[in-house]
Amino acid sequence: MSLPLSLVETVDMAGSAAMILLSLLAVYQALTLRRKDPQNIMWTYLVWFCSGLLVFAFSRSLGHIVKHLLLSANQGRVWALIKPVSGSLNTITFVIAGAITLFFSRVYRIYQRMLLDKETIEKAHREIAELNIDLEKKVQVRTRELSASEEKYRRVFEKSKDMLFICDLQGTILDMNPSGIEILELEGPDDFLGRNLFQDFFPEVETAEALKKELKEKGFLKDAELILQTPKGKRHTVLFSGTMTQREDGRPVGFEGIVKDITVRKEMESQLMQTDKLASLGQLSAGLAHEINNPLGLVLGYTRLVLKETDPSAPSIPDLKVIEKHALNCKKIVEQLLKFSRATSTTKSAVDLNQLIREVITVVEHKFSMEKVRIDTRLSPDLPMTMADGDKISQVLMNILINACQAIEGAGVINVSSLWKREDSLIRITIEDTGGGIPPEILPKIFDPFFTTKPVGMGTGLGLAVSYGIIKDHSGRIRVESTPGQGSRFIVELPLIESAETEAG
Amino acid sequence: MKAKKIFQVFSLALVLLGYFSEKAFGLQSHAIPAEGQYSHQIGHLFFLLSLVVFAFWLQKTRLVKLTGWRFIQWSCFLFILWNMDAIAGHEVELWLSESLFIGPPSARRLLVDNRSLLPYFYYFLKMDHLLCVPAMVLLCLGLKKLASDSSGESS
Repeated sequence: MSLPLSLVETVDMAGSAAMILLSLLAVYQALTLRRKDPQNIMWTYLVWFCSGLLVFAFSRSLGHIVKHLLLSANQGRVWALIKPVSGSLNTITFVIAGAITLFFSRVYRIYQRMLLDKETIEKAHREIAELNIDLEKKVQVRTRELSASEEKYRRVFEKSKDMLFICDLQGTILDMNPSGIEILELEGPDDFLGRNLFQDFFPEVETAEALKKELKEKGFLKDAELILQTPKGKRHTVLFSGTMTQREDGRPVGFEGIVKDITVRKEMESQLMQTDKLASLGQLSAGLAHEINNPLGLVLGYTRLVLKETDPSAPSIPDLKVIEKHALNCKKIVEQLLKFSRATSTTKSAVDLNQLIREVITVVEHKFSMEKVRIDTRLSPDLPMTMADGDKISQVLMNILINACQAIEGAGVINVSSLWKREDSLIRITIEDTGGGIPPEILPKIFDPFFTTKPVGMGTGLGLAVSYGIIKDHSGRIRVESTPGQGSRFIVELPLIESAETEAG
Repeated sequence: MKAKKIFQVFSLALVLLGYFSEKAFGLQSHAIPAEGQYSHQIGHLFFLLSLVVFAFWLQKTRLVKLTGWRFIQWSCFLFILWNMDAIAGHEVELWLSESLFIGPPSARRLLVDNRSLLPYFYYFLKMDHLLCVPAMVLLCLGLKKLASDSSGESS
């Protein structure tokens, strides 16, 4: 009995072919897997495993196919030559495939380690990302808070009506608010850069140095009354408060502070003091004038009576005339004192001030021209009529013009202008000369009675005092601005008082 | 210095060995035909053991919970069986006499009788592709499943 080997051979041939095809398919699928995730070492391992099987399948299956083909072709002797080679190759491929297979545990450990590392990295990354988000949120909140705080303080800095400054230890200004720029009359928002607070804005170097020294020694300074001078020459009376800024280690870095402009307040105080002083003087003058006026009237009356009854050839006549002359002088002074103290009656009527100015100028023009002083006028054509005592206002204008002419040494110009300030309902008359100006120290005294800079006998010192009294009697204001060497400017401001007729019209 | 001393001692030992030896062959002969057979069988055994280790690790690492790896483990089992079949087949082939194979090469037959089961055994062992081809099929299925699972994960 025998069994056909054809079945075995058929299975062998078909199986060999199938092995080749399936091993190719396995390699292809393993490569597909790896392509999807090239970082996964397990897929790389499967590629190697399938490749090992491919080599094995090719070697074995081709060997089997060749064997059958040669035996079918009665080439058994050829096969006998090839057989050991084929067998050896098969052995090698088993070993290769086996060796690759054995590596699985090692590869798996690496894979696990990679997974663990990946997880650790991802966890760390997540934590960092969370921390980062948290940090970003915190930074955002802090930035917003800081920004709001910065904005708040910047607003205080920018909107403050007082000058705020920051400067370094030498006094170089680093920052300054708009009020500071305005007070110091700087050209633009950055004009303070490079300027030195102590060197450029203090008229007296000694004061600036003393201030800096005190700031450095005490570390602060509070409400020091100082004079600042702008680059254009304008002076401001200010209250200076400053502190010295320091680093954490205590090293000084500079100064910062606040400067309050009190120029207007000081002027008002000064004017108030002047007004009070003049009011007191007025009361004193009025009382004095009244007390002197009566005995003086008796002296003058009796002197004239004695003169009338005495023979003109009598030797006492010249003496009596001297008495009369000086009594008249005294009477004149008393009258002026009464005018200054506003004790005299005022007769007001509707007056065209422009016309009044022209009339006064006509009176003095010739005399002034002899002294090479020209009078220029710039009178407002729309000046309204106002209720005033024309004679007294003329006297005021005359006094100021004469003073102006006397202040000009040699040739010069007096500018007279009038202006209707509708919004304030007042008329302004300005008399400006090109004389030597009035020294600042005597400026507050010029309206005082009997104050004069003229030589004895040349003036009574009552001209401006009387003018002051007349203008006050008209509810007006008289003031003077003067820059030594550049002339003086007298400003008379009278309120518009309309007459009943004008109002009715 | 130490390496120099070792070299000197080693050189002296070689000289003495050469002097007192009767024969010294540079190469060992591999002319015995059975040596190839042993190598081949050891190769099968090595492949078999590596597959056992592979299947064991797949179990131990619990990768077989995934269908793809389970297919691959089954593929390993079939390859293990195939290796056992191959080892047995090669051994049985040695024990069978050439006279049992009769007929022309195109229609060879195997003589069998009731006195020995060896020829029957050989007959079935020779159809080893019935094990290795399904093993490859399972491997391909496993890889395909892993690929589809991988696509699912990434998507």
